[in-house]
Amino acid sequence: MSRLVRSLAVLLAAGLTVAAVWLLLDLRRLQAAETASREALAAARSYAPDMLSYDYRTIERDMLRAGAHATGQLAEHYRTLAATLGPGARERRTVQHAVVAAAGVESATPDEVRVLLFVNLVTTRSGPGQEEPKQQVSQGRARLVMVTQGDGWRASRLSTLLGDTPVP
Amino acid sequence: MRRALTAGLVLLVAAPALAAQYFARARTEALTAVQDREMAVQAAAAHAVSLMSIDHRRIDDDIKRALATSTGQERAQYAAGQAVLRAATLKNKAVQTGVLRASALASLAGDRRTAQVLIVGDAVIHWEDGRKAPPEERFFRWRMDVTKASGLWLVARAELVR
Repeated sequence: MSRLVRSLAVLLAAGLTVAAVWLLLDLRRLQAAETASREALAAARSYAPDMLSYDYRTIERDMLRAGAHATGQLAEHYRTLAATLGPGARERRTVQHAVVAAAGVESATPDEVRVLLFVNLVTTRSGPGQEEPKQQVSQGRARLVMVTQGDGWRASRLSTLLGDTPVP
Repeated sequence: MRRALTAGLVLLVAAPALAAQYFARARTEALTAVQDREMAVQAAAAHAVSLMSIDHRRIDDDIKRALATSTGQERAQYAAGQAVLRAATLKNKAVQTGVLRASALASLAGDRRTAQVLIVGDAVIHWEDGRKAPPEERFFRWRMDVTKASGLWLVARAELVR
């Protein structure tokens, strides 16, 4: 066997090894995105009721619980929310209960998953001097951006998808 | 010695070749799944836009478009109601403009032939029949069952989520 054939075989093997490694890494990236999508969807489904529900009697505790599911600026926002939301909620004795009607994945990478949620909000209020509380049911839409730093999924952004309707 | 060297070289080339072939197949499968997910969502989004976009000046085209993006129960229901929709749209000179806010995949079947997609859309409707009514806003949350037939994803069922 000539030296040339041996060299070509080694070169070919090296090329195939590089290709195999690249294919494996890309396959792992795709599989990781799929796993992330499943895990983040389940996490968002279970966090959303905590993050969107509160009771005027337990609002500080409710916001702490909600903040525990968040990270970054959203977690910071929940830390201040009890102070800003509390007085009005207590005055009107507001109780908001969120139920997830449906959830799906908008986009997914191994580190970030955007989850769309249909959330039904049941809000009960009674103003000063009102005996009978008033109940309002609204059909909300929310987007939770879920991120992970390898220690489970946290919500980094929450938006309500309330854009302007198109101008005719 | 020569035979051992040849066998070694064959192994040196064959092992990464087999590995590359195996990973390439698995990657193609994973990419096809990604593509199916994207196409299912795109099909539902296209149908939602069709349902939200109605203009009395081109109502026949609007109806055709909604029929073209649907199949099965959804298509049958839309076809059954098309005469009423057409008459009402022409009578009121209605124009409904829709915008897609979000679309997401809720689930994809194991055989990747059916999927469930969530859609958020908002629309505004106004009338050009001379009435002095303010435009009316409409907000939609849809759950759509999408099905793949002959390589094409179409909406088989659309349900407004309450």
